[in-house]
Amino acid sequence: MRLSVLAFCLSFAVYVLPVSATTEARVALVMGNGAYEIVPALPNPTRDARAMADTLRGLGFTVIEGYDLDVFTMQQKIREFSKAARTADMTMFFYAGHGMGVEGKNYIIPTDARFEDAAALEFETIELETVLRQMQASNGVSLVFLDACRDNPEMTNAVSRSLSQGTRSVSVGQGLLAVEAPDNGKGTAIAFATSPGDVAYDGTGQHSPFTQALLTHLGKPNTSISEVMAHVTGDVRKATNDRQKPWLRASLTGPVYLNREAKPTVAIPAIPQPATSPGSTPKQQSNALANLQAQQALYDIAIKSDRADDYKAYLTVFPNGLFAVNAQKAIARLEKAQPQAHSTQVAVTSTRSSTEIVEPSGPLVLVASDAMRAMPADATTEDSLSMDRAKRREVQARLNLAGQNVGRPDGAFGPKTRNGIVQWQILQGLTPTQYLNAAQLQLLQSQTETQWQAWSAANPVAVAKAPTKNKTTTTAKKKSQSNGLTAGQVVSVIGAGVLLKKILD
Amino acid sequence: MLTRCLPVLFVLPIWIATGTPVTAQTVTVAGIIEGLNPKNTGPVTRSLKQNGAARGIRIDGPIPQEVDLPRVDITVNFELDSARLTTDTMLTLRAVGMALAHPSMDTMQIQLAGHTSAEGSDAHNMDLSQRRAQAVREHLTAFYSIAPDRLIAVGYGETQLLYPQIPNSELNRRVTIINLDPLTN
Repeated sequence: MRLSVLAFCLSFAVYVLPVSATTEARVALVMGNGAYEIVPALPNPTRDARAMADTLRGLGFTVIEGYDLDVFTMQQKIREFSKAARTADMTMFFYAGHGMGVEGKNYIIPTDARFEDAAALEFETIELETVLRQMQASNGVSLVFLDACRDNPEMTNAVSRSLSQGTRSVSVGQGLLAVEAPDNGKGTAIAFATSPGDVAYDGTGQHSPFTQALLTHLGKPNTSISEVMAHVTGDVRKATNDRQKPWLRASLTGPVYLNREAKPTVAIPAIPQPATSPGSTPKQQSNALANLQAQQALYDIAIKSDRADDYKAYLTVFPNGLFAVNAQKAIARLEKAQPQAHSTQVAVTSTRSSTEIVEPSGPLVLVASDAMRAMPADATTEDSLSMDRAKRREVQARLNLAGQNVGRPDGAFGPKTRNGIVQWQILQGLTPTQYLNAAQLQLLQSQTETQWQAWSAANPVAVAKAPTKNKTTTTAKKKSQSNGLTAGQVVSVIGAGVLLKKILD
Repeated sequence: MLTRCLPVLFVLPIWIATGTPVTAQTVTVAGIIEGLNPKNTGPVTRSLKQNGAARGIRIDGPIPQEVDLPRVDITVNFELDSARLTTDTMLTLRAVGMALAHPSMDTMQIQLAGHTSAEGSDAHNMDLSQRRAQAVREHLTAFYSIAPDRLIAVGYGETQLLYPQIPNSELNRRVTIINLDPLTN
C-alpha cells in the first residue's frame, strides 16, 4: 500500500529547474499589422498585438511595440529590438499580420507593401530571419510566436488572391528551420499559429484563435512554455474544429517559465507532518511519508555514487526537498573539483578533430541529433517497438519521472499519456507526434534511468505485475549494483524512512 | 518458439578478433578501433583472392564465415523477444559509436551482423536478428552521428553460431561489427 502511494506521489512530482524569473532581463518585440494599403486589411492583428504587449509587460518584459507599420518603421523597431536584445536573458518576438514564403525564405509584410513585381520582396517586405538573427545575439532563451498562415502563395497575381481570404499568409520552408542551428545558450522555441502548409484564421471575435489561446495561457503561474503550448494547441484545435493546428519547433535545454512564483505550489509537502497533527487527512500523511521515502532513496543513490548528476537528479524531482541544501552543496563541491565531469557526449564531436582516443565515462547521456529528429515517429514506429502492458507501464512511469504528469501508470496509452509524450517531445526539440520511435524510447530511458531505478526498486508491486517479473527484479538488482547500491540497500533505505517517520511521530 | 532473452545481462563479455574474452569494464573505444584495424587480421586481400571470393561477395548481404575480415563481437542484450535496447547495451554502444566516429575509422563501411542462438525457429531467429541489427544501426545513427550509409545491418539468425557445440547457449547471441573496407579496397 505504502509503496503504491509512493508511485502515486512520484507520478505527480513537479519538474522544476532553477530559472530565476524575477531578476532576468526580458525584451520583447511585438508587431501587429492590419491596416494594409494594397493587400486585404485584417481586423484583428493590431488588437492581438496590443493585448499581447500588455500581457508581456505584466510578465516583466520590456516591450518594443509597433502597430500598422510601414517597411521603414518596421526596420526601425527591429533595430531598436536588436540593441536591447544583446543584454537580455530572454527575448521574444510576436508578430500578427500577413506574411509569405518564397523559395525557402520567409517574409513578414509591412502595411505599405504593393507587390507589383518580384523585386517587392527585396524592398517592400522584411525577411523573418533578419529578426531572428537579432535574437541570436542574446545569450538567453529566444521565443518566437508567429500568428500567420503557412500556405505558399505564388508570386505576382496570386499574391492578392491568396491574401484575400481573411487568413494570414506565411509559408515556412527550410530557411526558418535552419535558424535554430546556431543555437545559443538556452535554446529557441518557434511557435506557429498553424501547421506547415495550412492557414491561420484571423478569427471572428476580438482576437485570432491562436492569440486568444496564448493570452489565456501565457501568464499562468509555474507553467512551462511547453505546457503553455500544449494548452494553446488544444484550445486552437477546439476553437477551429481541428482546422487549425498550432505547431512548435523547439530546442530548449530545459523547462522555460514565463511566470515563475518564488515558492512553487507543490502539492506534496516537503517535510512530513506528524500523524497526530490536527486537520491532516490519512492520505496527506501517507503522501508525506511516501515522499520522504522517495527522497531518501534518490538521495542515498547520490551519496553512494557521489556524482553531481545523481545529486541533480534528486534536485530535479525534489527541488525543495529535505536534502536540497545538502545536494546543492555537494554539486558545488563536485563541479569545483571537476568542471567538465559529465560532458562525455560532447567529446564525440570534439575527437573528430584529433586522433586522440577518448574513452567514455560516467552515466549515459544521450543527445538528440538532427538525424534523430528526422526519424519518423508515428503509430507504426511505436507498434514496431512491440511494447506489452508492463513495458507501457514502465514508459508511463518514466514519463512521470521526466516531469510529465501522465497519471498513474496503468499500461494503457490514453490521452494523458499522449499529451505527456507530446510535451516531452517538445522539450527535446522533437516534432511532437504523440507517438514514440525506438530512438526516442532510448532517449527517455537514458534520461530517467537513475530515477527509474529508485522508482522500480521502491515499487515491486507495480513491477511485479509485469509477466517478466523475475527478470525485471534481476535487472533492478544488477543495475543498482552498478551504482554501488543493491536493491536490498534501497529497501533498507526505505526502512530507515519508516523509522525516521516513527521518530518524527 | 521464442528465444529466452534476459532483459539485461550485467556482464558484457567481448571477444576481439584475437579471441581473448574481456569484460564490460574493458569495452573500450581503443579496443574496438584496434579490433577493426585491418592490420590485426590475416592477409585479408590475399586470402580473398585465393578463395576467389572477392567477386562473389555482396557487401549488403551476409558474409561467409570463412572470409577473414577485421571484426569485433559484442554481446548486446535486448529486452525480452524485442529489438528494444537495454541501458547496459546502450552503454556498450557508446564505445562502439565513439570508435566508429574516430578519425581513423570514420570512412569505413561497417556491417552490423545480428546473431541468435539456435533456440527457436529458424525463421523467427532470422527476423529477430535482422530487427536487432537494425536497432543497433538506428541507435548509432541517432546518437553518434554515424552516417547511415556507412552501416549495413544484416540478420544471420542462427546460421553462424559462435559456439556450434552448444547451439542453444545464449553465448551465441551477439552483434558482430565487421569492417568491410578490405573488401572494397
